[in-house]
Amino acid sequence: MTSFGTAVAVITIGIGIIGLILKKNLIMKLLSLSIINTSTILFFIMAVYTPGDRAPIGPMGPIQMADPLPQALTLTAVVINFGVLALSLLFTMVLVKRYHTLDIEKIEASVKREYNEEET
Amino acid sequence: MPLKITHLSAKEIYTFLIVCLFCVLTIAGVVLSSDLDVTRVGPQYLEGISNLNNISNSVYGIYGMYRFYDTLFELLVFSTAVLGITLFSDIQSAGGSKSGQLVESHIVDTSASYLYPIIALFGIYLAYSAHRGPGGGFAGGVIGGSGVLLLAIAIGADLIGERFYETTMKKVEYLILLIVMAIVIAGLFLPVAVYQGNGGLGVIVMVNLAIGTKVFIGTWTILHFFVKHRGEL
Repeated sequence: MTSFGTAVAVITIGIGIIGLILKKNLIMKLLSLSIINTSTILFFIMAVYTPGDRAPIGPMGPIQMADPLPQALTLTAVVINFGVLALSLLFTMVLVKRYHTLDIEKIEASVKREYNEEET
Repeated sequence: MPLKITHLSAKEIYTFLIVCLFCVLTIAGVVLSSDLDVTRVGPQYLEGISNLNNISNSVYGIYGMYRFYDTLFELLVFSTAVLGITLFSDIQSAGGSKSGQLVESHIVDTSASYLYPIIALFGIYLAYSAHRGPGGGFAGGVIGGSGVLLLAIAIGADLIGERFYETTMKKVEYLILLIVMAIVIAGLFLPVAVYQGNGGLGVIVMVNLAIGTKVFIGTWTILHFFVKHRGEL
């Protein structure tokens, strides 16, 4: 079960990387970034998952508890994802306001054209 | 006859190589780490936490005590995001600022004003009892901030911003960050044993509530920006 979950996480990270590089829409790129982040969390959780684990709350005892360290790391990852997503959406908004398109190649061409105009 | 790879663009070949590299690294990591017992990494923390009377949530014990610098830098990253949003919040929208109600309905209006106190109470409870059960300052703050979004949907974002003294709250946010950092720096000189006594419980609850308030303000700042500039992409 653990290896299955890990495999799913690794495949989803691969899908995210493909989307991050190949998609031309900025919003799609951000969604791919979010997919990578979520699959990383899945990887953390599934790497230490054993069936029958209890939540790590309450007095310690012979009960087998779930490993609390990946959960603590996951908490950081979720918040950072929220912040990064909000900030990158803001910058996307600024770019759209200036170039009126979400297509990264068109934005790139416009920036190059502006740069060449400034040079000459 | 040459191989027909010309219809692939350079970017697609690059993507293929990156994904191959990723797969090789993953497989190598799994193969190399199969001998090690990496399935349980937290027991050395658990032994320390089990000696503390105040903390029964092991996850809080790790991120609140052993890895508190993680939490601190997480707060700093979150503050940076909020600062970026605040700096750009003055950008002019194309179709004019949409600050009115999203839904004009008496039912939504009434139910939102009855639901919000319950949501806020739940958020405060989660922030308050992070050392005892599931929850934490971040979760509580985000729940409180999203609850304000419900009010913004029902009543109107700018009105709610005024009602919550938004400009004052944005200044208080950085003050809270300073307070949390001061507690952390004081913690350098205090032994971990301070968490065991009755005074330690006060410090834990105070830090959690401070983080909760800070995340509440930050979440509402971010959500208010996106509510104000909706429909522009």
